[in-house]
Amino acid sequence: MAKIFYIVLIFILIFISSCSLNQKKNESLDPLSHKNQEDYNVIAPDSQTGDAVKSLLVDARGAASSGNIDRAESLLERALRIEPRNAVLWHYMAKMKLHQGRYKKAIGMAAKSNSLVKSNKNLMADNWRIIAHAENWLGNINESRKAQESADKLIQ
Amino acid sequence: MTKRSPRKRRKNKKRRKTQRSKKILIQLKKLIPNSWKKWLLALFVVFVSYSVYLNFIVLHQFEGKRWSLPAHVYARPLELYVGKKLSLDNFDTELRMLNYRNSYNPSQAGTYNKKGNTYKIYTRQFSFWDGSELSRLIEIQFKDNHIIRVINLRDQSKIALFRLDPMFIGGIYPSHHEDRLLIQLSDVPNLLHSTLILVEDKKFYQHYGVDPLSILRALWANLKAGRTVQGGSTLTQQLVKNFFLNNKRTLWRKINEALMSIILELHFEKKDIIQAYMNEIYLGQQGKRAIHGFGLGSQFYFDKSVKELDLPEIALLVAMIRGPHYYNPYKQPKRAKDRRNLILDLMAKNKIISNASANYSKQMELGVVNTHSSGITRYPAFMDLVKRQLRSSYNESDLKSEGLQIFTTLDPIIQSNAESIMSSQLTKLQSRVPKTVTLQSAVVVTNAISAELLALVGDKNTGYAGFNRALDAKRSVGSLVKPAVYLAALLDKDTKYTLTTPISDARITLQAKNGNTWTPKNYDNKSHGMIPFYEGLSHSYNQATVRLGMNVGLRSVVSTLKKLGVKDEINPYPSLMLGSISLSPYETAEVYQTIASGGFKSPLRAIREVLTSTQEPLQRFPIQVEQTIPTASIKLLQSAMQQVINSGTGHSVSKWVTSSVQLAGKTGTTNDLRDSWFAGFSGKHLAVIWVGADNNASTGLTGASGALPIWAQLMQSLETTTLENIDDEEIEYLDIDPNNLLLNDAGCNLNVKLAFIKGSGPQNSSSCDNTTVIDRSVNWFKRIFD
Repeated sequence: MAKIFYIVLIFILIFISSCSLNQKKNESLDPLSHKNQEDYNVIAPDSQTGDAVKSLLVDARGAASSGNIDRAESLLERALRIEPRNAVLWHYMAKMKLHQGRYKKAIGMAAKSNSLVKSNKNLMADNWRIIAHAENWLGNINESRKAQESADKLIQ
Repeated sequence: MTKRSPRKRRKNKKRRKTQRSKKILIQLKKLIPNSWKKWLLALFVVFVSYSVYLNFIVLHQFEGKRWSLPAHVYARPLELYVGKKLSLDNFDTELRMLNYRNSYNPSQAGTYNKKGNTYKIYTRQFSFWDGSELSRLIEIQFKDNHIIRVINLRDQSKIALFRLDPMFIGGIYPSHHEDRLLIQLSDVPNLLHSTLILVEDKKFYQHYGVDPLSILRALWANLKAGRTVQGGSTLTQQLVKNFFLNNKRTLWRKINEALMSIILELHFEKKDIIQAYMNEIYLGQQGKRAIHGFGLGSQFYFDKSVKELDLPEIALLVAMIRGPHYYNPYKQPKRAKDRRNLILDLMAKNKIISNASANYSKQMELGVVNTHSSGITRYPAFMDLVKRQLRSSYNESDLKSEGLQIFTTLDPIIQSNAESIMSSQLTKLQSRVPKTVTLQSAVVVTNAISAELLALVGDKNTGYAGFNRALDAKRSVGSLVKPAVYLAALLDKDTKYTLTTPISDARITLQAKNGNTWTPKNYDNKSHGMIPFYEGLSHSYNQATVRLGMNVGLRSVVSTLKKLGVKDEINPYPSLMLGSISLSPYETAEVYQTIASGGFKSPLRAIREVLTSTQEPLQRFPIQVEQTIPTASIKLLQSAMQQVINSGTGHSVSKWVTSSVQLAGKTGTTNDLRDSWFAGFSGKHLAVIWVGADNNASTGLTGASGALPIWAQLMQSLETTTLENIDDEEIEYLDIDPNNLLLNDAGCNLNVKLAFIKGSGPQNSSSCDNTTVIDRSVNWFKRIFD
């Protein structure tokens, strides 16, 4: 089962990275970014993110890299309690759910992230891509295509 | 064939019976030993058989799980970090609730010192789902109700994030109500270990379960005194009595006790036996809850872990073993102190401690905590919900026996505020309602984004575990349903309503299929002509709402209510639009949660995580969100609901909350003033308040006069955040002149800030002149002709 998740994750990350070539590489605290650091630019927390949340993200990343996804998710939720309107945290949660194969939850988290984004188009585009992949896995081809189009529009 | 007489038959039967009895007696006599040797042998066989039976009992019960451990339920831990909004008062309250003791020099876990805005706190160690929080000495500095510095005093390093231990809020107990916190022998201070041995069983490490000399000594002492003054039981015997037997003073029980003690000593090491004793020993009572073991005893009496006990505390715990009721430090402090001091003298006499230490400790107060954070549930309504949510994952017996540690979302400060505000406000309201009416109330407070339940009150007597109105009182919601009607209109793609679209508040009569007619009227019994869309909601006009609802269709309203989170079947009757639907305060909070969180439906959560009794992660109850309403439409609705508070039926909120904190809400009043509701939210918190009578009597209270003051005072007490009205990709917030609903970019005196889908707002600017008079006159004429 873990192997299948890993293969799915690699597939997703390669796909997302191919759509994100125009993004600037930056240091990330995305708990899942270690999986594919070289060829994937991920969203970094914005300058408003406090030290408390950053410290939790470091811990979450450590937990995820040692395979403890449940702990990583718990740390992310703790961060969300501190900064519930931080769109990047919801984005990380969405990725975590996608990684776990919980597609409906991933869609909910990504949409929540988008509802809180103020101006970060890259973040919105990545959220739409997560939705596109999750919908695709759920067999909702039309919804997946629409979500992908929304992502493409944002970074045109 | 000759017939025998009945008399003869009876005689024969009797003779046969007698012969049979004689035969049995002869057989038995053969079995009875006829010499003392055989007697002895028989006794030996019986003894061995009985010992084998006892051996089975001892091994069976002592080798497996020894105790049924109740589940322990905790409130949320308080997170501390730079930038956190937290008042000094609330922080003091938190420390008090956690039984942190003010000390000149905090040198022990659970102590703190406060100087101005700076606290030195020696925190307690605690294990959470995501790791352990170590005990350490930290300094926290506050400024303007915010934390501005958190440092570790050992190395002066900055701490990015830290959390205090969570408050224990109750347990889920087995029927015998025994409670204990299991400890390992390695956790127990040597001093406690040696004091226990000294006082209860000096020869514990020499005997084999029973100490005959000690029994004889006790017997002699008791005979001399003419009553029981000394016990001869070893620690092993005491353990056996408590663990396997009972307190009956019978010879048979004493024999069993001795036999089982020897069996226990044969099978188990001394360290296992003393560890079991330390976990088993009864140390007191709190209501039905029985306090067992040093682990729970030290927490119950001193709010410390057993590792942290100091000398006089150790002496008191050991002193209480003799009679937890007789030496109860709360009810019999002098008696308890005398015995503690006796133990201290004994320790000094036996060179366990120095005379100076004993003398110094004897001067000390008992040091027991004043209030119990541990104990019978203080929050019965919330605990009721926790149990209901747990039952979906665990069976009842596991909850009462596996020692689960349940981490909940309860915020004890908010809960405490909600209880006191509700109680004091209800007392005031009670004097204004008819004497035949007894007011009741329920309060639900949640985190507006994460849907975590922060406080729950289900009865005006907040500590009473009776009918939980917050969860179970299904009442008509009245005008609380109206946001769903206006949202259904905003979601309607054909009509393209904006918040300033004129709608009619003229009288309306609807006719049912059976010919019956229904003519809803406004609360003030007047019609208000053409009004802007947002005003229909902010002033809670019944006529405008019914007209709007009929225009978008009842099915759309029902569908919107479902999307918002109503689970029950909804009848699509027109009266639905004025709140004929019945919901509990909890269900109402779920509906408003979807509005507050931007169109994302989330089940309310009372539990975060569950750990095993050994702090192993067991289960998490993660955050869940599902978008059911487009964010843009919800933002329009939120904007209209802000006007309820800024200029509508909820404007009296401003008596308590400053206008710099933008809030949104809705009043609710049902027919004949039976129910008074207020539901609303800030950027961070959502609260739903219900006030009414259990017998459904008219209270004479509207939503604004009954529930609103509780809601407003609660919001005032919260460290909450404003609702942000910030433009985004889809939405823009425009200043509008309410007199003519044009753009107020000239700075007219009257102004409302309303949300619009970009490009849908008014294009022309107000000149702030006579339009007011003209518009109002037009409306006045319209009202006359309506």
